[in-house]
Amino acid sequence: MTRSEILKKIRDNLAIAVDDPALQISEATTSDDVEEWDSVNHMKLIIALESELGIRFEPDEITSLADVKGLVDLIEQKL
Amino acid sequence: MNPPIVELPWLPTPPEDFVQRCQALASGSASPGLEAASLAAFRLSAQQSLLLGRAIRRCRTAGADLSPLSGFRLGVLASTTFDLVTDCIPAAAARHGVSVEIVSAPYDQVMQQALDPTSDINRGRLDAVLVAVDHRWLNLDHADLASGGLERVQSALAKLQAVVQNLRSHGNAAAILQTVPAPPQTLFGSYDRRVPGSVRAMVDDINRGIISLANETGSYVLDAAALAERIGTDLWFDPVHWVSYKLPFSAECFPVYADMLGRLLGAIRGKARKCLVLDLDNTVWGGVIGDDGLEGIVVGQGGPRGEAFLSVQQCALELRQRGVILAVSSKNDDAVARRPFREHPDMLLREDHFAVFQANWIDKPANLQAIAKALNIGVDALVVLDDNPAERAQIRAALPMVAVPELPNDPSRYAWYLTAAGYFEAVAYSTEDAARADSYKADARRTEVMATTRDLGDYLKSLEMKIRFAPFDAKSRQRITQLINKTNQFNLTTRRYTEADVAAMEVDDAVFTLQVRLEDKFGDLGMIGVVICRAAGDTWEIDTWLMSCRVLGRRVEETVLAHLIPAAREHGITRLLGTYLPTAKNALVSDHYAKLGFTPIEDTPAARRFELAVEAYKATELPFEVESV
Repeated sequence: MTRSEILKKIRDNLAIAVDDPALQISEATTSDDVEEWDSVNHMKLIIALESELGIRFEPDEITSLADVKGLVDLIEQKL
Repeated sequence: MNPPIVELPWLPTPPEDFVQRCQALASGSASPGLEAASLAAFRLSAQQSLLLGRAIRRCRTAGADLSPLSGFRLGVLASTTFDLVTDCIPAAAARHGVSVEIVSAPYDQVMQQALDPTSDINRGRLDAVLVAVDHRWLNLDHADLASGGLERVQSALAKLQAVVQNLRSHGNAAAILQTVPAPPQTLFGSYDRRVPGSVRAMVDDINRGIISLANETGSYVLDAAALAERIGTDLWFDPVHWVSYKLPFSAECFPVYADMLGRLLGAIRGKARKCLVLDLDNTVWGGVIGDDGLEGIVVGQGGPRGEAFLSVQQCALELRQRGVILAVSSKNDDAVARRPFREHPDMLLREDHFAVFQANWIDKPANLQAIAKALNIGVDALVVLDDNPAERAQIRAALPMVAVPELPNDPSRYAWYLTAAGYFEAVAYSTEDAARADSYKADARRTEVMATTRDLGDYLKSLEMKIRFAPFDAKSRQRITQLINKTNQFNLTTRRYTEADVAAMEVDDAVFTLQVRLEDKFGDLGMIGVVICRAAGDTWEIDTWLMSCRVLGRRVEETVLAHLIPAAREHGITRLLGTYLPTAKNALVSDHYAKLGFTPIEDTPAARRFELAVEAYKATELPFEVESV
């Protein structure tokens, strides 16, 4: 899976979590840039990515992932 | 191994345009309730459930009429991070005929919300509150070997009891208690069960206690322990997500847990299915009776295929014994299709077991409509077991409210699919339920008598009807609640009450209650009517008047009125006030009060009101033997 494909997966699932179908993000986006990207919606995003991609994040990794680039990096390693 | 239940394998895969259909539903649909139910009938992931749930919520917010779904206000009190589970509930509820509105308490505020009369939960006018707590909240997550665990279990039960009682007294809401799944770790291994105070022993104890508590308090039970057990507790529990997020159990289990809750809400609202319609060839026996003949079909002991079909028949028969009606819909010549039931020595199912037998060459949707009509039930009460994927697709397309489980190739798994889907969920069980399958068959015979008698009066007299009136009482409480919650057609006001509400009416002096039972020469029809009158000065407002549609045209309503009049006089009542609140299903009774001689006093689209002066009532002769308690 390429970085841009991973980015699309993140976008699609984040769009559902924050209930904004038109959401646009790039690797530079962080949770500060998306108003509804709070801790509960972050959890929803992580769980959705785990089940869709068949991967698991470690507890330590999860808390520090509120930026898109970090998330893409981590998923790339896990796939 | 059986297929993983977490994948809801009895449901068909969602269509390509699922997301678009959800969006279309959210932005306004001609029949949003029906479309929501159709979309919910697919095998939805947690994400898809969330999308559909949001679409349903938008419909409701926009004021759309979501019938045929029944409304339900559900509170959720959870000791864990429950948001992701809650996200799955509205779609799952729609799958089972319910449009659910959820009020969630914040994380781990179970006791606080239950005890505080002004909490969101207690002020939420909720029909029921799910008390989603687990072994951790109950303080049963570590062993208590020193003192043997007895006190620990008792104090856990006392906590639950306090929650249940406070929800009732402050919010007038029934509790949905869940049983506690036992965590998989052991301390001694197999010996755990024999050590008082081990987690396993305490969880066993509390689950027995929860059932008793539910029985004593009229609470509902969601058997989470049974679900976790069949999934496997190693899959159910997820220690990583527990420490990271305090998720109650594995995310993979959220949709099936929500489905199980949806079934329960459906059953509370009387939406559980009533009738199992069986295809014949390659569904109840192997082979095609029309081609292979009586000797060629495969059923019976002695071979895997024959035993597999026997297991389907056994399953149908057991369902029938608890009150599920059986019917046949098969593409066959009638005489050919009946032969195995009459002549094959290994068949468990016999013609006698079926209330309706439709073997012909008409398309299945038309046959299913005929079956529903003959039984006087909706098509949304039918489940169809059919091995043929093309037939299944045709039925789903034509009649989306009929439940049609997917089936695997191997018939030895059919019974698993049929039962795993939870179509026949119950919240009560009575001897009347058990007798229902027979009683529907008696209906068919009554219709035959009708055909041979020309005069309605003669017909009614020939039925030798005995009607019995009694006030609400404890032993009939479950059945009364069941009727109140599932009667849609002959129901003047469609007001729903919980078992606890009904119990309160039994002792309320300002409320006059009536349960009506009917018997005729063909059998006991059981309880067929419920009336609730509330006194206001010298007037009785008829809060509720409902009857089973099976007794339509028998002058039961006139007899009920003839009973109400002297009762009113005894209570010093001079006027009866009747209200008709129209719904999508009760047009049948729009003229109920007018026909009974009431005078209209108000007529708006939202309600019609009628009155009758007790003195103005004129008695007539009615074809009943009356018994009154």
